[in-house]
Amino acid sequence: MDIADGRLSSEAAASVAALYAEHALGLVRLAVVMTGERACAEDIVQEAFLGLYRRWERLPDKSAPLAYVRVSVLNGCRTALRRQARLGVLTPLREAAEGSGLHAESAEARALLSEEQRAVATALRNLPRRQREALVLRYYLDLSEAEIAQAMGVTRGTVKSATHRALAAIGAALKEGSS
Amino acid sequence: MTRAEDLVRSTTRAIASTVHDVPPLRLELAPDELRSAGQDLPRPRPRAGGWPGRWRPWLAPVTAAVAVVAVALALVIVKDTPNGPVVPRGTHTNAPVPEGVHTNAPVPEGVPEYYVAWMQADRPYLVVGDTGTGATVATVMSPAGVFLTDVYGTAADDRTFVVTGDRARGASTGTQWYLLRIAPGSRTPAVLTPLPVPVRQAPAGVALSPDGTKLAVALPGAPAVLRVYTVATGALLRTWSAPAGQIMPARLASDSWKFTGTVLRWFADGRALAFTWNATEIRELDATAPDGNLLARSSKLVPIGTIIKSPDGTVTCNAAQGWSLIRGNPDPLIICAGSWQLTATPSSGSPAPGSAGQCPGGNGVDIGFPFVTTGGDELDPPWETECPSQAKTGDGAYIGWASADGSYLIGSLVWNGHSRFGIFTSVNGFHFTPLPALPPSMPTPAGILDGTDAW
Repeated sequence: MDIADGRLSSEAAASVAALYAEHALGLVRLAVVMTGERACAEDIVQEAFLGLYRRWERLPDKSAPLAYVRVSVLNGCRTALRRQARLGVLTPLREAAEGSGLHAESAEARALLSEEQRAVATALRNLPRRQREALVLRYYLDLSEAEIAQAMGVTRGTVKSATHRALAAIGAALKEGSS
Repeated sequence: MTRAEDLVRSTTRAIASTVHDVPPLRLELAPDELRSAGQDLPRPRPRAGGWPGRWRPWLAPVTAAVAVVAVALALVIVKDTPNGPVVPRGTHTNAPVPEGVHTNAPVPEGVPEYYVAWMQADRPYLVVGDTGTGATVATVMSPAGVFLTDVYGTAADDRTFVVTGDRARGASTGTQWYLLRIAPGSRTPAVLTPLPVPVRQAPAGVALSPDGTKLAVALPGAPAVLRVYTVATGALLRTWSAPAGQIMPARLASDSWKFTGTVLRWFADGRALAFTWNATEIRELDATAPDGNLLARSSKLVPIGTIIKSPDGTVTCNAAQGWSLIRGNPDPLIICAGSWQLTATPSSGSPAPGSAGQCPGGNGVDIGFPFVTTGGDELDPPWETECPSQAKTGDGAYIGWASADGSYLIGSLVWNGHSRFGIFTSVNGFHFTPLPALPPSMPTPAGILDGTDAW
């Protein structure tokens, strides 16, 4: 653990470091699923924890810092995805899904994915941002509707409708692919 | 659980399982944050000797004419590393500055009084702010159903900006275009109106002409397409394309989101454009040239992303951290965000204290805003020195705005964990005037160059 020469407080540093040790891997995986890019995902998580550290003293609820970091990671993913969309960046996930190009991560992901799962990966990428987030939070993180609503900053009704539409779109994509 | 649900679960977990470990956490704070938290940190080591002695005599006429300066903005880094209290125009500052640099210069005339910052949120919004005081002039919310994505400035009147957004649903999905006009002090300090630009793709780059009447739009991917539209009607004035290659300032891979978005710019006279090509060069294009082949109609200005060799060192023009243009005489000049690397002890004697040559092995890096000529010469002295052991992620020089003659710049220097944001000038000697930090976009993606704040 490399905690640099400045510390707001030992309590903040220790708390954030402990949280990182426990949840960083899961959050990087979440960001990889959302963005398809490993290095980008690591940066997003790193910055989310740094943001938490900087705001530790002002956190309204220090008992639930994971929720704060998760929102930060999601926001970071949104920023990254907008950049990728604008610049037409071909991410490892997209490469894996489309079966073109090779990348260290994408090659591994591709080897792990069946043909059907690749179709799902492609369909996930093509979902509107809110629907993709709802699906990933629900089926990857197993969050409850209330937790998803909190993480996305939307109502539970929005989570329900986004999940429903996303699953319908995934189903349609699979049906189209098999026909 | 349905088949689709099963597949979503297994697919996302398979993708996630490719990550087996994470890098160590680094909790680094900027000096001002540490001082505000009561930490007793050493100030950055002042540069001894100053810059003037490093200006090469044979370049003096050029540099004098151009009066180099540099600027930049590591937007988010800056946003998260405030420069301390707001510094009124014309006052002194305690910001760390190298020896020989005066910091009592007022914010000069001609430097934009206002900026527009893109604010990240579930529904992003814009903040119009006062450059000198940091005060918020207006807040502009996203239009219904639209996710604001970017803001572009550089119109000479400092009152006109172009804003893009994304509409996910409805009859007109894709990129939406808006004109943001600001009128500080009036009853309606900011008005956002739709622009009839018929481009639904997310643009790779956008530049508003200095007179605010024309909009240059670069499309992402290949074939490369560059178009110019009228702002008033959205009519297409010019279009150029190239079958292969892309309009982009950097090869984007693992750090593709660390990006300023400086893809193309207008020259101050509004008659020519410059654009980044294939992450290898900046090219100049006559904006009145007939439609046709983009490469045939344009010419190379300078190389970017590569090392340019000069008599006693090398310089890397880092276009991904921002760049600007000067109509020099006889050739155009590019202000780069860049780094200067000494490759040998200068023939004039021992390396100056604080210079890259003082680092172990003499292989330090000077970070600054070099001027680069079309011949590939480096003209500008460095601004800060960093030895390899001190380098940190995000270090660099970042350009946000530059005056037409390059004599003033707004931007950031980030080095050795320190950052400085404000106005840099070399008019009548080097001066740095700190500016208030831009408003933080929550959560802070520190280290990212958003390119979504505009002057």
